[in-house]
This record gives sequence, structure tokens and C-alpha cells, in this order.
Amino acid sequence: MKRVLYVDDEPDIREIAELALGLDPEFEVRTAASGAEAIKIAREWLPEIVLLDVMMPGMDGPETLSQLRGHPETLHTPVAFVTARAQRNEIQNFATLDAVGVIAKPFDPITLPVQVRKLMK
Amino acid sequence: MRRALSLMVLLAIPAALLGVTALLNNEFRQVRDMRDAVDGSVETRAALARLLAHNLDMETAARGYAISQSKDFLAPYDAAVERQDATFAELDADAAAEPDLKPYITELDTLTRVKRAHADRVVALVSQGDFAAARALIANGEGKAIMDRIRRQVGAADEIERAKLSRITRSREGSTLSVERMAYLLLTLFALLLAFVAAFAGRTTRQRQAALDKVEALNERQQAIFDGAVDGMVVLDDEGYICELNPSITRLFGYSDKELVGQHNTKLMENPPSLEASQAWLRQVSAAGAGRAGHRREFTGCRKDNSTFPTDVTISRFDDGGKQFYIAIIRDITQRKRIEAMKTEFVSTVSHELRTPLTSISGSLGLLASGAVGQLSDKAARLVSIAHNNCERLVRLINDILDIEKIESGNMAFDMRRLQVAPLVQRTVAANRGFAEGHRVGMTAHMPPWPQCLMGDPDRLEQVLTNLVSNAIKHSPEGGEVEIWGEQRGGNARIEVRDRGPGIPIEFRERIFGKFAMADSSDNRTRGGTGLGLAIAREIAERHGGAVDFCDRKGGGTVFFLELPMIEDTPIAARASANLPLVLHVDDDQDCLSVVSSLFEGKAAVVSVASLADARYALERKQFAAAIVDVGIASESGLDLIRPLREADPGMPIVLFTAIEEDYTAADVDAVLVKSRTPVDRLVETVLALIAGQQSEAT
Repeated sequence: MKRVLYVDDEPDIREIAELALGLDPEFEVRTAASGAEAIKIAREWLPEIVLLDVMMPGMDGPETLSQLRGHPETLHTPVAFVTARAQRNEIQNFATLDAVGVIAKPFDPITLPVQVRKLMK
Repeated sequence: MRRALSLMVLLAIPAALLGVTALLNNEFRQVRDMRDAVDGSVETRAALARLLAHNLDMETAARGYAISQSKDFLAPYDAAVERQDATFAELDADAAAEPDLKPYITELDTLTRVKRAHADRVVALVSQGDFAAARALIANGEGKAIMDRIRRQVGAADEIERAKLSRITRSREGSTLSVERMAYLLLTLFALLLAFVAAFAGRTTRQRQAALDKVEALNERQQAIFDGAVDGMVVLDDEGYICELNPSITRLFGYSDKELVGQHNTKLMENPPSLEASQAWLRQVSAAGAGRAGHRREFTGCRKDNSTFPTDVTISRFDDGGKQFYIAIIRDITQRKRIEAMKTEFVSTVSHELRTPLTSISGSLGLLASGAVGQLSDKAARLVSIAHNNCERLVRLINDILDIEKIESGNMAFDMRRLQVAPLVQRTVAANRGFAEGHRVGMTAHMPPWPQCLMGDPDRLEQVLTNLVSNAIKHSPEGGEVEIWGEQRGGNARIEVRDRGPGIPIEFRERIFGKFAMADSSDNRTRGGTGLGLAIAREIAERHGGAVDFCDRKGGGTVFFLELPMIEDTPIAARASANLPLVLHVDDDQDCLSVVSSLFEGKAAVVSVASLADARYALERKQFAAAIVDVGIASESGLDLIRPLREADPGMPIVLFTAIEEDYTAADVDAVLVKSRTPVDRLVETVLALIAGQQSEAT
């Protein structure tokens, strides 16, 4: 089983993402509602990929990423951002070059698992 | 015209004066002549009278002597004799001037002599004492008869002189009259001219006054504009020092007139550029010429109290009294900046807020439509698919509106990097494959066999191509095919998207690149577009230094094309790097170009071009070892290329590789191979052999 952590402050989107990712029988999916929760889960559960929403209240995506890198457990965990196309340029300005990729929002639930698998390679 | 007229008037005045003077001068001279003539005539008449008197004196004296025998009576006689000669001399002179008079004078001369002889005889007889004979001589009437004849002659001569006098007088009167008329005429003309000059001068003065008034009014208006403008205005000299400022400058910056006049304009800026840089900018404005539309630039202004605010400065040049000045109009754009920031913030927030629920809706519908959460009935599936499609459209619309907003506010950031055209096209084709299949439309891509390199944002360029391709798919008839052709035009990579759709209506062509532009209002519903795509595409292309446009396709349909400047002559540069002979291949058939290019792989570097223009372009930049030329290249003939090839390098082997079977003996080429008859391997062999021959010849 591949452990996937999806982080988004929107409960509806979390639910859909969980459902969509669950279409891949090999995925084990957990979700987090904030950056802080994500870091906590990631350090214990050690996901094989973290999908991070960029715009979140409090701790946003790039900030969460940099904090993840501050912990030895998550130092090398692959992280992908989930964001609108229009904001793609914005995140490239941050120190986020070690993100493995960007998933456009709104995502297509059918192809989402395929995209995630590609990023995990 | 008016100038010529006034010049004429000015010349006419002295001319009229000269005319009058000459006329009067002539008149005076004639009057003098006449007086001389009259004087002469009067003197002649007086001489005649004197002559008559002498003769009478002589007669009377002779008779008195005869009667009295007193010698005293002879005194007048002697005096008359004495004066007679002088009088005749005078008369002879007059007669010389007046020929009519001559016979009379001659006759008078004779008669006087006769008369004198007669009188002498009387005096002689008296002296001898023969009084009776003397008396008889007097009494015989001979003396009286002579005297009468003399009187008649004098009367006739006098009459001639009198007639002459009156003739002169009459002619003088006539001439005086005409001179008088002429003089009056000229004087009238002179008066008219003077009146004209006076009127003209008056009018000029009035016009001058009016112009002066106008200038003054204009000046007042300018001053009112200058003083009353909300924007700050400063007049700068040619080096950028402040000469004048309006009250708004004081309001904006807090400096008074005195504190600024004479200072350099950079005093008003937060981060003043160097004096040289500032003056260089002024010179740049200056080079555009006086009265041109102002150059605009944004500066951060610095107030007297060191607080700052954003400004927009427009600067224009004007000339005054041969010196250059600049007027800088400074606008406080704090409000505008704030509104722009608010707008950006608002758009960004709204789009995020809209997108978040849309993500949920779209995700839910997507899962439902896929059947991943259970099979739907046909009707339900149909409804879900409608909802899903429209949800996606809404997402596209939001994305497009955001793009437009970014483009218009100048905030669209481009992630420029070196990229190749072919992979970009392949990605676009792959991404749109599903969409094309949904419309039952095929897609083919034909890219040039060499790499085309350019600087661009891959995502944005893919967006442009996707827009062109999806438009072509949407407007293609079912079962149609969308073709994507890559080629090269000069230094540009050109990607054409060709469809066999209905074409673009004439009335729509003007505004096709406008916002929310769709051929008709019902169109967007059937095609599912936002009406913003082409506006965005064109803008993105232009930001890349390229262009998006369209033309009609031969045989129906439309060709949309994207042209982008390449960063280097990639085919030439890439090929030349290998240590192989460089071969130019001109052919309008992409397949042929590809085949030939691949066959030469490892043996020669082939630069493939599809038009004569591109061939010339390549020829100017590289030296080729050989050239392969097709004859029928679209509407052109490859034979036209032979001459420039020969001019570039007279010894270069040229091979005609053509489908047109004709007699090419007249063409100055090294080999002719006909496409269908010759295996392509032969072409390679021939070309390489020719190159080898040329090289050995050269060494």
C-alpha cells in the first residue's frame, strides 16, 4: 500500500480528494485540515507523498513544506502542491524548488490517482 | 498675393510722382519756349514798326527840308538812315527763323533802298538850290507811292507775325489743357494709392492688434490651465533645472516657488537618478521633437517632509525663443495604485473563493460521471455530464478572466526558458486528443525535422496552442481533421493550425481578437468557449515577441498561426556543430524534407527549408557544401534559386531533385534527379560524390 497524505483546509475538497485517490486500490489515504496537523501526521505516519494545498489560513503550503523539511522524519518526503493554474507562478517564487510537482486545481478526480502515481516515481 | 499687391502699390507711388514731375517739367520748358517765341514775334513787329517810322522820318525830313531849306530838318533823316541798317540786320535774323517772312523783308529792303534813293535825290536837288525840281519830285507822288507800298509790305509782314503769335498761343492752350488733365489724372491716381496704402496699413495694424489680443488671451488661458491644473506642472530648462512651477506642485510636494526654482528636478524624486541619467532621459524626449506626445514614466515622488508617494510623470518638449524647454506634468497616482491593488486583491480573492466550491462541485460530478461511486441511470448520467461540462466551463472562464486581468494590469509573469517547439506541439496534441475524439475530429501534426529553439513560458505557449487547437476542433465538421504544421519563416518558428470549418464570417474578423468575442451569441453555448481565449492568446504571443493571426485556408476552412522568434538559427547552428559537410535542401514537401534529412544522418548535415525566402535566409548566414533544390516550390520555382546559389559560391554542387520531368539542360546545375524514378539513396550518393569531387578539386 502507498501512503498518501492530502492537506486542505476545505472539508469538502478533502472528502472528494480522499474518494478520488481511493479509486486506486493501492493507495492508503489520510487527510489533514491544516499545516500543523499535516506535520503531526506526517512525522508519525511517514506518508510516501504529501499533497499540499497552497492557500490555507494560518500556515500556508510553502510554509508547511519548509517546516516539514525541518524534521528528520520528513526531510526527504516527496511533496506536491495543489493549486490553481493562476497561482503556479507565485509558488515558484518561494523556496519550494524541492516540490516534486504541481497538481492543478480543480483537479479531475478520475485522473488524480494517475497524476499522483507519476509524481511518486 | 497680398505681398505682391502691396509691393506694386509701393512702387506705383514713386512712379506716379515721377510721372507728375516729368510732365510739369516738360510743361515749364514748353512755356519757356513759347515765351521766347512770343518775345521774338513782338520784337519783329516792333522792328517792322521802326522800319516804317524810319521811312516816314526820312520822307518827312526830305519834305521839310525842301520847304524850309533849313538844314535842321535833315537831323531826323540822318538818324533814320543811320538806324535803318541795324533794323534790317535784326529783321534778317527774324526772317531766318521765320521763312514766311523772308520775301516781305527782301521786298521791304528793296523798297526802302528805292525810297532812300528818292529822298536822297530830293535832298540833293534842295542842296543845289533847285527847289522847283525838288518840289516837282515830291509832288509827282512817287515818294508817296513807295511809302504806300512800304506800308502795305509792313502790314503784310506784321499780319504774318500776328498770325504766328496767335497760332503759338492757341497750340499752347491746347497742350496746357492736356497737361492739366494728365496732371490731375496722375494726382488722382496718387491720392488713390495713398488712400489704399493708408487703408492697408490700417488693416494690418488692426490685424496685428487682433493677433496680439489673441496671443494675450491664449497666454491667459495657458496660464489659467497651468495654475488651475490638478496635476503638478514644472517647466524645466534643457538641463532639467526648474524654471517655473504651478500651485499644484506646492500642494503635492510642500515646497514653495522659491525653494524649487533653480533646483534640479531630481530634488522631487525619492531615489533620484544621477544627473547624467536624468539628462539622458530628457535628451531622449528631446529627440522625439517638439510638440510630440509626452513620454510617460512612473517615479516615486519625495515631499519636503520626506514622505513619499507614487507619481506618473509625462514630459514634453517645447521651444521658446530658440531655447529648449520641457514641461513635466506630475500626477499623484496614490489613489490609482490603491485601486489597482484593491482590484488585484479582489480578483484574486474572488477567484480563489469561487474556485474552492468549484473544486468540490467539479470533483463530485466527476466522480459521479465516472461511475466510480455507483452506476447512474441514463438520464441521471446525462444530467450529471451536463453539470460537469458546465462546471468545467466555469473554471475555464474564471481562469481566462484572471488571465485577462493579469495581462491588463501588466502582472502576468512569464517563466521564460529555453524550449523547443516540437515537444510543445506534441504536448498540446496529446492534451487535446480526448477533446478531439469527443468531437469525432482527427488530429495530425507535421513538424520540421530540425529542432526549433526559442525563449518562452512553456505553460503559456501551450495555453496559446491549446486555444488554437481546441478552437479548430470545435469548429471542424464531424469526421474532419485538424492539421498542425510547423515551419520556419525567416527567423521565426511558425505553427499553423488548419481546419476545414465554416471559416470566419467577414463581419466577425475585425473583432475576433477582442474580449468576449464570439461569432454569434448562440455560438458559445454550442461550442463551450469563453470568448476570451484569442484575446489572451494574442497577448501572450505578443509578450513573446511573436504574433497570432489567421487567414483563409485554400479549399475552405481557416488557418490560425502562431509565430515566435527563434533565439538562434537553430537548424543551421545545430547542424553546423557536427563536423560534417553542410547541405541545403529546399522542398515544400515536409515528408520529402524529413526523409532526405534522415538519410543524410551521419554523412552530411542537412538544413531543410520549405521556401525560397528561407533558403536565401540560410544562404546569407552559412556557407554550404552543396544544395538540393526542388523545382516546384509552392508557387515559386526552385530554378530561381540557382543564380543566388552560384553567386554565393560558384563551385558549389547543385542537384535538382524534383518530381517535374522536364528538360533541364539549360539549367546551370550539376545533376538532375527525378523523384519517382530515382531511389533516394542515389540522391545521397550523388550529392556526397559531388561534394568529394569539389573538395579534391579545391585541394
